[in-house]
Amino acid sequence: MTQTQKMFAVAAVALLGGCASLEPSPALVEARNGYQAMASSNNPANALERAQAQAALNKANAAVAQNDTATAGPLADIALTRVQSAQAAGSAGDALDKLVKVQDESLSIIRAKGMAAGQVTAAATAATAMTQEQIAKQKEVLAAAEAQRQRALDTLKSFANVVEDKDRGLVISIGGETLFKTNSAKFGPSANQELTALSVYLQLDPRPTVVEGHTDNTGKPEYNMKLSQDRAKNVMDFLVGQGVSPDRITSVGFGETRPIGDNKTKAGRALNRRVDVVMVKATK
Amino acid sequence: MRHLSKLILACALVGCATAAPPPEPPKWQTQAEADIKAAQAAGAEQIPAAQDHLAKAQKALAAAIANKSSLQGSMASAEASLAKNLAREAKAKADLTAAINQLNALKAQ
Repeated sequence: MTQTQKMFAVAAVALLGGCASLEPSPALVEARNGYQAMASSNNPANALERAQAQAALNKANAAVAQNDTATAGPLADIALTRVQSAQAAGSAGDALDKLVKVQDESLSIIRAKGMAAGQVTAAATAATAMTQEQIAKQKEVLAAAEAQRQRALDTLKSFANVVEDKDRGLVISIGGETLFKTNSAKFGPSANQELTALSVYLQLDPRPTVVEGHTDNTGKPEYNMKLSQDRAKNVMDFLVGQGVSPDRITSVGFGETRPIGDNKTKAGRALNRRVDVVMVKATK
Repeated sequence: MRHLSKLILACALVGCATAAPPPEPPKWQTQAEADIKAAQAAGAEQIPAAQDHLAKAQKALAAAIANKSSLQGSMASAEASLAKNLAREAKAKADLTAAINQLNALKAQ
């Protein structure tokens, strides 16, 4: 083999070695599986921990995708630890929920038996005193989750129209030009940021959700119907990809059949080209 | 000579007064320290399942400070968070068990 041939052989081996993709570590695989198992959860007790786990997992996955051997291992370990933390927080929240119910039942028995304050047994008194602290802690957790939900809603209002409709529920209306390329169901440049903000909110508000696609009346009705269906589905798929449970979200296209603006004007047509994300009102 | 020693002393005092304050710790360090404190407040030191993770958090924080490593700082925060939530989980489950026992005692009366 000549010197040149040897040089090319060494370079080829180095190149192939450098191009070999990094395998996810066992810790990363476990983190992914653990997160997937709780991705559909809407437990407010561990909403913050789930969001932290998702962020850590995203960083670990990115390190693997970029073949970053220096940080892939530690980031995978961090992701797994965050997932385990979210699992423990969820379990603590579930136990507190049950604790409150058990305490309610204890108090009902005390009232039903006509026990006066002086007749309450020491054990029942201790149970009441103990769970007041736990109830207070649970309220603190729920208050923190509600504050986080409100912050996420405020972020949505910076680019979407958010209205509480008395018949439909909470309607988050995003302009078609904001999300999509013209006459297409493909996302435009600002879609990623806005849909990510939307996914954060949806994971903090567990109501069933419908993604509705709407168009103006330019072009054929059949075309507009298909375009609206594709757009709605793409938005839904993105949200599910970000961790929104597929069990609580659906998509539908309405084409040009539900205008909110006058299709005879440019401004009206722009209003009609939209995606409505409807958090369905609970039925009694 | 006396004047010289007074002058030196005055310069030293001025130097001390105008010395730059110590730099603020990086955000990841402040966060990790807060997370460790939260884990301790949740009783992680008394819960076997949480003790190991709290120790790992403290060790990771020490290494992070020595190496000025935000990655090790992130690990310290993650371990502390896990220690805190394991402690909360253990306490909540123990309280639930006690409450169920007490409910059963009330039902039996």
